[in-house]
Amino acid sequence: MAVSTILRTVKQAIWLGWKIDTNWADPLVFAIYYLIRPLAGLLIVGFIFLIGSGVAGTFNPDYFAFMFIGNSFFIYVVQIMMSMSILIHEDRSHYEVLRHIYLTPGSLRWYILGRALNGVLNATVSLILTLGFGLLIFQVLLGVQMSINWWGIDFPLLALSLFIGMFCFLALGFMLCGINIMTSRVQFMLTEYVSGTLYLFGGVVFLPEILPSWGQAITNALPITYFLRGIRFAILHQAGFDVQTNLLYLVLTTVGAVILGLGVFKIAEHKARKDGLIDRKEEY
Amino acid sequence: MKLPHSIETRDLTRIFKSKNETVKALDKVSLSIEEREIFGLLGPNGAGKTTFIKILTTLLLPTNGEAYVGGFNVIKEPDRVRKIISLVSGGETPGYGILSVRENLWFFSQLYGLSSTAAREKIKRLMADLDFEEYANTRMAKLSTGYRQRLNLARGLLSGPNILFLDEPTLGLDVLTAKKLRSYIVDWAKKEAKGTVLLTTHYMAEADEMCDRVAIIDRGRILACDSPSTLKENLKQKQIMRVEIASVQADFGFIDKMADVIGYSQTRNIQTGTTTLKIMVDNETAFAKIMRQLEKLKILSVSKAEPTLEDVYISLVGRGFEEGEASTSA
Ligand SMILES: Nc1ncnc2c1ncn2[C@@H]1O[C@H](COP(=O)(O)OP(=O)(O)OP(=O)(O)O)[C@@H](O)[C@H]1O
Ligand SMILES: [Mg+2]
Repeated sequence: MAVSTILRTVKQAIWLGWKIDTNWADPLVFAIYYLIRPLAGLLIVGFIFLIGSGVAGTFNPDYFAFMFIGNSFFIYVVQIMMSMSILIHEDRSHYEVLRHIYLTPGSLRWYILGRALNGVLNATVSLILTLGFGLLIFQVLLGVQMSINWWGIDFPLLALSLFIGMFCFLALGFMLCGINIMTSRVQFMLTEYVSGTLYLFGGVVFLPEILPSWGQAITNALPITYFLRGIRFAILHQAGFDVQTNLLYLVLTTVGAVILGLGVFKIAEHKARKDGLIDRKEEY
Repeated sequence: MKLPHSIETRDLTRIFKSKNETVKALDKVSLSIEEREIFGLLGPNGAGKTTFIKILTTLLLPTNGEAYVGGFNVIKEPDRVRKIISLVSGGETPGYGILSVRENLWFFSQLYGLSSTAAREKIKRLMADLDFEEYANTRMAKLSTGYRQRLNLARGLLSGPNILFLDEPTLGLDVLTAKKLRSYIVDWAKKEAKGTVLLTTHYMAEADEMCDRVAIIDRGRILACDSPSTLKENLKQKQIMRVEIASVQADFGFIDKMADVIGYSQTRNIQTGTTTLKIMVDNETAFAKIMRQLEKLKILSVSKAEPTLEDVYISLVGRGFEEGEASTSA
């Protein structure tokens, strides 16, 4: 297939995603979606931590930074999963376009990728806003100590970790799309399970060390673990951190996720053609 | 010179299995459709028309048999098939309600890989040809059914397909819009060097008016396949009578059971309180016998009818298309 067709498809899908997202009549709702939701999550976790530290009489600025960064960057998972899990059902039943997209040379995959990239862009905007407001509230207004040197961020490493991490999140998104092609209703619970697993075991707000050994085994198998470690190191520069090994694990687990995600999607596409699911009528 | 087959199927079979039933939606369908032909698939609800189209457009795999579109194997080369076809169905409105008509067309033009200039030109021309330029900037959600179907057809033609699959394209449209779309499609097929149309319908008149050849399908099987005129010509030896009766309740089941009756159809019109029977018989004696039975009811008119495609169907199946609905309308 022509590369130009792929590029046009991806571009249109991003644009469409943006049009759908911003179509809400009320800009206020839009702001809530982009800023207040992720920020609220951060504030809740942040305050629980501050209260806990107050009760215990100890405050660990390293841990606060750990939590602050993990929680903020988790926005990518939430946004991508959200935009990809309802996509199939919406396009199939509500807009009735799924089969026509499926029949174009641009193909369903590239279209889905574009819609997911729209999620990535949204998440990036959310992330920047959340970091900004989070800092304003915790550091400036509340005077919380965070051992973050904002001028010393290793941007190349940050960008590289983000870049590799996106493959993993998009792959999980494709897995969700595949499963939703095969089912007659939106699998909201599945989306919750997947992002919940990543949240609990991926070292987002808890140090993996507090988990039981089977939990730590899960932690070690999840790409998000290495993704967040890479991000944190790029910002915090903890001593004794082995960047190369971490990158290697990030790449390996991401390759695993990509194989899983695209594998499930391929199976779903085949099953869809066998059983006529691309344009099935369903309860929406 | 023998034209290459644009569409060819061999023993195409599709079985749907679910927990409590097994449906043979297509039963060994073998058809060849030539390039530049407008071919109609005519059959009642559940006959297998949509299933046939879904297999040929690569949306569904057959259970058995083979199918070729533009010379490509539908099962093994779906990507190549997709490049030369498009699908337009009646009663569906593919597109994003929040986008304008033009934006919707633009969206699909890009997924087909059209360059920006080509896309702009094509969209402009299609909107002009199909008479909906004035709605270019209207949100799709605000369009009426007729204009949505124009948009839908325009979407189908955007990519410049060779083979157009139309699944009941005029379903639910008003008479004028239906007419407009039909004549547009006929013109399109004439104009395009390789333009082939496979159309399904259960409007007899539509098949008669548009199609070079028609296949009559019932319960997954092809019962007859020929030009509309030949199909009707074959009925010339039969007698077809139209009887109008002032009742919508009477039971006409007895007609079928009489000797020398080939079949009949009934169309009830609740508003006027009348039923129109079309009865096909082998000889006039049979008809006289039926009339004696019908005398008990109030007969409004009796006339001899020219054969239509519906009569071809009656002669094959013994019953009308859709009892109750005016199936020859639109
Ligand atoms: N996905 C499916 N699962 C089970 N049965 C199906 C499925 N799709 C179609 N069928 C059955 O196959 C048969 C043929 O259906 P099809 O939709 O092809 O008919 P059709 O000729 O298009 O009818 P209509 O005029 O109502 O559109 C019907 O009995 C239908 O119930
Ligand atoms: Mg149908």
